[in-house]
Amino acid sequence: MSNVNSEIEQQNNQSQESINTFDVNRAMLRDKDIFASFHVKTTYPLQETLDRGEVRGKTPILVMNHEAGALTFLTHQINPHHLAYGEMAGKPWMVIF
Amino acid sequence: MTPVVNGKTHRFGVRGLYNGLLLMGDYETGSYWDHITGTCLHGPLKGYQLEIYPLLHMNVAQALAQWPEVHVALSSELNLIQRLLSFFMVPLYRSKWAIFPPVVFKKTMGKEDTRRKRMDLGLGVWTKATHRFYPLEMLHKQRGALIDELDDRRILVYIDPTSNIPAAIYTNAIQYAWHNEELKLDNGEIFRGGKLYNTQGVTQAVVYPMQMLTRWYGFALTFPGCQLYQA
Repeated sequence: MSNVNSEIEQQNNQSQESINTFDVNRAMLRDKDIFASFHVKTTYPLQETLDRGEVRGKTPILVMNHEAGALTFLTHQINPHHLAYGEMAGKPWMVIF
Repeated sequence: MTPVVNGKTHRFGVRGLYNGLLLMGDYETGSYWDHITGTCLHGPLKGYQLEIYPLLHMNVAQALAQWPEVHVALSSELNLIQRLLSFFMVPLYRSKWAIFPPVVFKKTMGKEDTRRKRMDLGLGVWTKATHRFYPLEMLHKQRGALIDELDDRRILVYIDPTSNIPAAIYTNAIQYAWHNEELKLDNGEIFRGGKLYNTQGVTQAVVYPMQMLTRWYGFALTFPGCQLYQA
């Protein structure tokens, strides 16, 4: 896994307004998961996946640009899960889409 | 995002809807979180902020150009129906014929910002101080690129010709020019095939502000009163 050399923007973008105006009566809240999250335990080199023909050059993907490194997901696979999580270089991460 | 709260890793799932967008919930406290900003909106951890990082849309070729060693997470947990639905749903969501949000989503939405149509697609870019939406239609009118100020830095917002997906990167360039599928910047850098090259032809690191490809309603309801890019 290559390290991401780009600067990582950690935006502690705490929107006080959105916290203060949260309307619980309008929200749909559940105490269990609505979708089955994707627990990522194994990853594969994207280039090898391309070489094997499992993806194409134009296949849409999502790239997580995390401090632990970059990791990709096939957009059409992440869509039914909506949330994926795991660890990379000992650091926990999650993405939601 | 980094799912760590007060030094402890929490487990999250999709546990709600608000403003027509997904809400995350954590198993440890039952709190509910904004999935874009990483802010806890409701529950015992209300006001807590997760660390967030850009989640970029691109294609396989673009990703490999920037990160040749990058890995991919492949899900084997989807059944055939889920695979088929998702295969068709993603292009539909991105298309101009999108019928979303569904009724159940609409019921959770607050007062909408009517400066744009609800389902207008665009790139939302934000910092702590600035939240700005670049309509895709506007980007096309700008011939697929523009240079703008974001706080005290400049950004290049462009539609990558290899994927037709918009993205924003920090730059110190002031002007740009297209040469076929190359984007030449006046600081000597060139964007080609998903890679940024300096004047010596050496690959440069790309620095991304926080951004998301999104519908207008999602960005405007997440960042009320956000700026709307006007050419």
